[in-house]
Amino acid sequence: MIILKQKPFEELLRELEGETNVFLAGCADCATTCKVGGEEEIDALEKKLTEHGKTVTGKHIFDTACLAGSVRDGVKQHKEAIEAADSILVMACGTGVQSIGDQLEDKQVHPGAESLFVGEVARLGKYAEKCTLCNDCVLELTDGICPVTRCSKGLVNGPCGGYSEEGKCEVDPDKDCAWVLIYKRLQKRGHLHKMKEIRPPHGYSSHHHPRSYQWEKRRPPKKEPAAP
Amino acid sequence: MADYEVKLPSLGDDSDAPSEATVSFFYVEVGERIEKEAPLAEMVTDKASFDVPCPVTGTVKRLAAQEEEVVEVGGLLAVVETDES
Repeated sequence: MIILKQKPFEELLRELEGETNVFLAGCADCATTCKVGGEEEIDALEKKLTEHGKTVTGKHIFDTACLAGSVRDGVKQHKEAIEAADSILVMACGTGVQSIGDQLEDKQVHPGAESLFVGEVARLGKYAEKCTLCNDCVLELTDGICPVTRCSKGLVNGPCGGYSEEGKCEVDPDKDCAWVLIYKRLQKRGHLHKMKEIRPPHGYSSHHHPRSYQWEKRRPPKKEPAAP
Repeated sequence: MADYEVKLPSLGDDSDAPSEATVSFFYVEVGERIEKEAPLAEMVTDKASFDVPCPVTGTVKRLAAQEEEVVEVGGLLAVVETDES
């Protein structure tokens, strides 16, 4: 899940400076789970913006704001309200903002949230980064704890030596040392031999942006021309 | 012989059913024979892929969309010259 937090309201007002009419866009996926761009938040935002002299021409919670088709459908449904707006305030992740903006070349799109990281929802309001989408997964070797993400130094061959006796990180003593967690898990499962495996330096070459990925099409093989 | 227009069929009755799909690829080329119910094109939406079958037997006269082109429901995909008169 993309973990998000809403920008301060004052910042949203700055983004909307000089504009009166605004269309509000939310997302029924991550932004709703993170209480940033669901129905409740969009309604509250509408009320607050109205109190500050703005006119909300319409609002829509996109099923998933990062699905281009879903966005096109939503934009079609709300064509008039969008046209009547000076801009769209998008309460979704950066991908959602751009996905909506790309469909509306002539309309200013404002980001209403900060996209923090891809993370686990421990419970409502408590989120933890578990994966950096590095495309060089080491979880098999660590029995499911990612040192690239959860070690402050991103070390892949054991701890740095700076962890405390309580197993806390020297960079951030509030956090567990990822390698202590990994060691304990491997020990518990009888997999300590994995600690002896030397991992090559972590590959970041696939981190060049923008990343993209496309399935190979299941195109059937060309038919042989019929014999004369 | 008659020309038959193959269009993108409805993608569902639900209000949230997609109103469009993207052409992944065509199974046939212009000039190629195609049988009734044989797949004409693979289409993809945000979450699914599916084949559009050809409703008639005939020869593909024109492909009306490009690969990766977004086609609206009811939009033209191809013209097939049927064997029927």
